[in-house]
Amino acid sequence: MKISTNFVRPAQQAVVPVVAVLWFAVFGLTAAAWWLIRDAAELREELPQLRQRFERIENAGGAITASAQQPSAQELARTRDRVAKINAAAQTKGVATLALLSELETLLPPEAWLTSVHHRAVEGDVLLVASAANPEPLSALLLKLEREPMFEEVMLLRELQPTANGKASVQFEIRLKVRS
Amino acid sequence: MSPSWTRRFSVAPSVKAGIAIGRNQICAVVLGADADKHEVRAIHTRDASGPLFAAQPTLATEAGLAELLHAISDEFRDEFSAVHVALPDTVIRSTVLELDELPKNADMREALLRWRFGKEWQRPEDSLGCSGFDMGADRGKHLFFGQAGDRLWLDCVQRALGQAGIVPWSLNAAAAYRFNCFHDVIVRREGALLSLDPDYWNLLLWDDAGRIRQVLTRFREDISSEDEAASIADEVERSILAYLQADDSRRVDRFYLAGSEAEMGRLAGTLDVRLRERAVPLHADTGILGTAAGVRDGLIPLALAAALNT
Repeated sequence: MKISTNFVRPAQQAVVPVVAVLWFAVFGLTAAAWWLIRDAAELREELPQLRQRFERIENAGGAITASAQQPSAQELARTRDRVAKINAAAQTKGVATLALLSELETLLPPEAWLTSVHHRAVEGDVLLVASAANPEPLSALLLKLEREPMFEEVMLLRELQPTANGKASVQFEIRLKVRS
Repeated sequence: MSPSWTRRFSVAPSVKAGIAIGRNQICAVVLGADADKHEVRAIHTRDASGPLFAAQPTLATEAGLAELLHAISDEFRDEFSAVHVALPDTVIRSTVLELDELPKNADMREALLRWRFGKEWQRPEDSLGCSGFDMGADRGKHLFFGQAGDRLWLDCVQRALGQAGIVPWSLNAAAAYRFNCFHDVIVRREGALLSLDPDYWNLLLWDDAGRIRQVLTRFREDISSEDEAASIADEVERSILAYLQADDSRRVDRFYLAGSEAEMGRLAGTLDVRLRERAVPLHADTGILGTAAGVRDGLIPLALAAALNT
């Protein structure tokens, strides 16, 4: 059994592993360089084909640009005017008539009925005529309309007492505004 | 791939060098590190201006040692070379501990060595640099080979090596390099190796498994006098007898001798009479190409053994 003691820490023991690692690194870098060079050569061979393809794409792009030209400024202005007019005609404001009728239905007492409704949605003006056998249901309707937050400026314009089929009735003509 | 290409891309050093630092002299042997054969390329020897390892090292000692190392390292300085540095066995002492239980980790083993050598030398534990390794178990005892050296001198030598541009692969006691150099030849049977170096001698005894079991180092005088040779032979004989008598199963089948050829010749006759067995001389230069006259003198055999360290 040899004497294996040593009073120095031999740095040379690291030489072989370090050299081995360096050799591996050299081989690895050489392989990478060879791969890059080969790849570059292949790209160089493909270069003429790629250039041709690029030119074809450029030409096709020019055709597409030409066919997709913008309309003239006058034509654009006319189109904008038409669109604005259509939008103005179609524009509504305030509550829809259907919603108004639905609301009046809930407020109308069972003894009264609506004779006519004229609704100007843009201005929010409503002119309605309600009928009943006596004035009490109509007074109650008027009161409900005044208290309803949806409406404002509720006003009794006229009170009529027409006779229909020999039966006396009362009509209230009421004007109001839908709160915007 | 031809062998020449294999060699060209090898990461092994092309030069091996052994440096032996003695108390009064320093020697370097440079070998060509061929896989098949070794050839001596250069041998350098320089005398120190004053005795090394005598007292605590100073900056002047360090500078002087660095200068000596620089002068002997032309062939391997600042090169990728396998350099092994042998210090006297009186500077790095060795022992074999027989332990009931081996300390669990390297730090604890080193602490044990510090404590053991600190007690023996009557020195603070932190003034010692220690190293050791486990040699396995024998009859329930763990055999632990331990070494210790004066940290100041170990650091001084390492700094001097650095200043001289030398990066050592190993730094160890002379006995360790000698034992490793002749290992494959001598450990086939139980035996003993007596190394003769300038100023001191070292005795190693190993068992049938090739494990070192006992280490003994002593200073010596000039061996040319009959009294000194007889004194060394006496102590070697006593040490071997004590080793054998400690355990009936121990044997020393062969007795080897290493060191300066002239000194081995002077001591061999005396040892043969005392041990009643012929000592077998070992020469590190056997099979080495390019050797010249004087390669077996002084510190050169030790430097050569260090250079052959694997």
